[in-house]
Amino acid sequence: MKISEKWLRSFIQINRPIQEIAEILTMRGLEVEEIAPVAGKLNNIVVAEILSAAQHPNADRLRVCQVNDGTETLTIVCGAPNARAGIKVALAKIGAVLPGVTIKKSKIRDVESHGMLCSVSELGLAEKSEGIMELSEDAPIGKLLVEYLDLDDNVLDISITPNRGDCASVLGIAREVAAIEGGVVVGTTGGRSSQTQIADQTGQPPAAPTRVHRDGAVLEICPIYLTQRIHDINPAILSPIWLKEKLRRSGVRSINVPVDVTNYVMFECGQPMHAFDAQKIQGAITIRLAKINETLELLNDTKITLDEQSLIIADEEGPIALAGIMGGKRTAVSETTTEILLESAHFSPENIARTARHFNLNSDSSYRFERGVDPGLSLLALEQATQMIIEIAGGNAIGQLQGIAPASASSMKKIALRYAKLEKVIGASFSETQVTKIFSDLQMSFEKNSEGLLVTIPSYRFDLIIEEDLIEEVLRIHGCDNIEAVAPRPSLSLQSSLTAMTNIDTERLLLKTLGYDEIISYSFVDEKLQNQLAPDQTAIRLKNPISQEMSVMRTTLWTGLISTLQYNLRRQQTRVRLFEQGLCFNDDGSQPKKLSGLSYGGVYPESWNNAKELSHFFDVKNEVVALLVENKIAEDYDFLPSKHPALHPTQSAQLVHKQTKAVLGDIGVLHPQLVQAFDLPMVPVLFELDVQVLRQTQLRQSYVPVAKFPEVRRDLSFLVPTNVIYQDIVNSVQNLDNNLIQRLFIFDVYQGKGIPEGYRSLAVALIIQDFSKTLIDDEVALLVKKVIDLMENQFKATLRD
Amino acid sequence: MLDLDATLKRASIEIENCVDLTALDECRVRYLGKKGELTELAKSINQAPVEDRPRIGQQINQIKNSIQDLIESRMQHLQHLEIEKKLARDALDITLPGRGQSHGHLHPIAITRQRIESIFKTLGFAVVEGPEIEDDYHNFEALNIPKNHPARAMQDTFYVETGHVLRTHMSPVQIRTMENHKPPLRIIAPGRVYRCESDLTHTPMFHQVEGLYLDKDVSFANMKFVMQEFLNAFFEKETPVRLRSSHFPFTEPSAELDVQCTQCSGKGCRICSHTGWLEVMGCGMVHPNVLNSVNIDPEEFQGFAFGFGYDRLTMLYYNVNDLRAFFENDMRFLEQF
Repeated sequence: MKISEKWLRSFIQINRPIQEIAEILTMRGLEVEEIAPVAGKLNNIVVAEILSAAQHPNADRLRVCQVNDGTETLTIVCGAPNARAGIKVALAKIGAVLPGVTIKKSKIRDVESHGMLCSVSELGLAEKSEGIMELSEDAPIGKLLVEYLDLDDNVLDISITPNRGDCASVLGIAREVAAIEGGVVVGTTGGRSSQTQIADQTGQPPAAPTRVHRDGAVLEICPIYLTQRIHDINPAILSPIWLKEKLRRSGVRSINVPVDVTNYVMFECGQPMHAFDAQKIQGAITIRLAKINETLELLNDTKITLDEQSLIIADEEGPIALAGIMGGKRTAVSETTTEILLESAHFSPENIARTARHFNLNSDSSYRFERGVDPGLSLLALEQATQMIIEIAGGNAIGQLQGIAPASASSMKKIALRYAKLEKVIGASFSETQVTKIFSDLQMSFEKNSEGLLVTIPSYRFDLIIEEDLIEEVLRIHGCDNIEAVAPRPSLSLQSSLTAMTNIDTERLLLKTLGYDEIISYSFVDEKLQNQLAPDQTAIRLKNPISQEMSVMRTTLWTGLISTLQYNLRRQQTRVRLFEQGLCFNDDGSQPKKLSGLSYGGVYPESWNNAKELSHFFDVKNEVVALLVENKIAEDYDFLPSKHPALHPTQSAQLVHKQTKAVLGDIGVLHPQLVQAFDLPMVPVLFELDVQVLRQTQLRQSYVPVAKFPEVRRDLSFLVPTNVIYQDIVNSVQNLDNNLIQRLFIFDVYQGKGIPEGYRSLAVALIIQDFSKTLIDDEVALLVKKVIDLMENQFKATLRD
Repeated sequence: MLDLDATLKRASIEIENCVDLTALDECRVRYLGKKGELTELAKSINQAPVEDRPRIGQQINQIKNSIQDLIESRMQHLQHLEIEKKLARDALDITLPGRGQSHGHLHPIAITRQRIESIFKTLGFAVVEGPEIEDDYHNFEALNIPKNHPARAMQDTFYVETGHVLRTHMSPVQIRTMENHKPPLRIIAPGRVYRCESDLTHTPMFHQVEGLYLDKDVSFANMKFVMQEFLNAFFEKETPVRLRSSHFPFTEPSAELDVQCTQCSGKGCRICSHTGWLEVMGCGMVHPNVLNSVNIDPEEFQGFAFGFGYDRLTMLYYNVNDLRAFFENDMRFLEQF
């Protein structure tokens, strides 16, 4: 919210520079985001009068003006069409500095000009303007423009938190400053006091020419609705410069007198108002909820289709305003309006917030109503606005119509504050004097009792509801930065049972050691990429995505890895090893945490020693096994052929738990069709593990003693049909004698010349050892014989010579 | 008489002139071999008068021994030279890079998360997690943010088709923890959060840590202490802070915490918009309505909650000036951490 320093100072006497005021407000919860001067220095610019304006002898569009600056008459060449004798203008004299220009004596088409008559935009007071600025007739000639227009002012941009609707006005900010500094708010603007006397309502107002009905269903969301009709306004009269300036400093443009005055009153006291062209209203006004499909063309030229929750003001023809948010175009005040209906009402914050959000409309009015407006203001504001409009533009007020004010408005709310609670929550002690002074400065009355205070809450502090709110007031005014830090004395309770078991920092470190870089990619991804990598999944869709490329929730981390791969390939990288951890999102509502990686290009970095092998399934398999070993589960999982649609059908595997059949994840070479679709020069190998599964199988391991007797190694080479897989051989051979066969492994695989079609040669090493004695040759030979028999019988394998 | 001295002198010169072990061996054979000069000389001793033989024999032996010693010492020298040569041949350019796997890098934001976790763990906090697609209740209602509350407009929320939201802050994890565990509670919840905004200084996804400390008498003053300790540890130096009153629906009283600008130490610079302060976190005493919503009696338990974006802390810590760099994952960026 923008607020003028001078306007604020007119409400409260405070002898502090603006920077200090800003600091005070910022520390108390009203963050001042910017202090900006309302105009440049504008030295040497004075109020002057054009005495005569004659056609320039050498230029059609220029005029030569004789201008009285209060001390002498100067010749000024001016191009503005409105430069004419008799008007008061802003004269930049020789030496004046305007935004971007320094005024010098110059010759314009052979006529000497001794200064410049300024437009509003040239003065930096508006973005654009037409012609030169015309000052009012009573502007004193010779006076510095800065003084005349009160331009020695700053605009404070204050961020109002949602609870402090009462501060969305000059009056509200002044009250805050008073509470902090201990001053008193005195309204002076326009001769009106902020503590305006409530008008005598006993007098019978004349019958209102516009009847107002309020639908019974909207009593709660519109407890107060007041109108005032003013006729015979002179539409030719423009808002005076001081009014325009105040509005400009509050961030709005001047439109016409009625609209300007309602804005002025809103900025000053916080009550949003609206002015209708009374002659355009058809018959009686009704305050009601909209009907489905009713439409309303708003002042900002948009046409909205209303819904049944929208509170509207309607006449007999239909909606004329979206209550508390924006007026309609049909009944807008125009440059010919002579009769207006002023509205000053109270609407519930929830309803306004809902509707404003629904239609994505933000106005100064909705900003205030959704934060809450003091219900005590409706009448005062209406009176002030009426008075101002008549003062400026003439006219007569006819009658007054008042809605029913809620009973609660008069009964003041009271909240108890216990000193013990105050001390316990803040962790510091306050004396009774300190506390009572704070509430006195906040203009809140209170009664003392044995435990503390019973504080009476003024109508504008609707944010104060419970004791903690009062504690916050004490802390806020005292200054929360003034509280001393105190070390807590925690009860020594272990919190480790709460700790998430899905922390995989160790696994991340391992992948880092294996040469992978960690990435963090967006959880919402491109739908096409998502479908390419997980065509069997239905991705959850965002209702309001930022862009098409971020429209669905990922079901696999491979989306981020593949797009990051592409991003880096476009930046001349040739070897990319990446991993990511994070949640994936399934359409059944589950949100599994996954750990995934991608290896592309050389297994090792390109180097002088010529290690140029490309990442292969088996390289990545070994790295995945490292992750399993880290979790002591390497023995628990089988690598079974995978059916993952994004992976190469014969170069991929699924990790399946031997007993539970739980799936830990997939590993494999990217499907050749996708390699082509993604236009990748080389083939990436991918893996993805479910972290929950990875972690839940982790068991504490027990120590197994190391055998003391020598182990024996026997190497056997078999011709094995190609459809026999290694894992089956390992399992069968191992089961032959778990006591003696410690382990077996393949040390050579060969297929090709010398090996019959349909076969491959596997060289197996058997490591044999007895736990209790040294093995003799016969025992070893017997076992080897058994292995050979098993290979022949079960796998149709023959021993090679 | 035999000129044994001359022989020794000649042998010693020849030995000295041997440049490798082969030549030396030839030399040895020439003097000491079966048909060597001295062997022959020894054989000829019986031609000498009997009385002279012992003396001559002794002399020959002395010379033999001397030559043997000279050969031995020359051999050692030559062997040493051979080894030196071999070592010189084997020399490596030790400045060539090492072989094997490259060195990976953790993401800077993840490093920050780990640092934050380790600091809070030393203060006795547990690290908790929760879902990222949340229901309206846990993200808003339970946090004292009813429908149409203006605070909802402060957070531009992403909605999914099921009507759920992408969590806009880490607070729902606090709610879920309080639903399942009774105080005393000391937790932090780091993770991804989402808001529907994207510009120079906002990414639609970012990271927050929220913390909660609930016990019988945990106070605002305690909060100030814990936050100060954390920030000193995080920035690895005394970091002046200031607390400003503010408003959050889920805490009362509420405050914003600023740290003195880490760039200019409070003198004012571009980073802190010349204020000398950087806004880093929101905090406050847990609102009684929040405690009530998770069936914790606010008269019995009280405490503080806090939350901050750690992408920003990462930027400050590493002098990263573009937030978006974190999510582009350019390897040239990642490999600096």
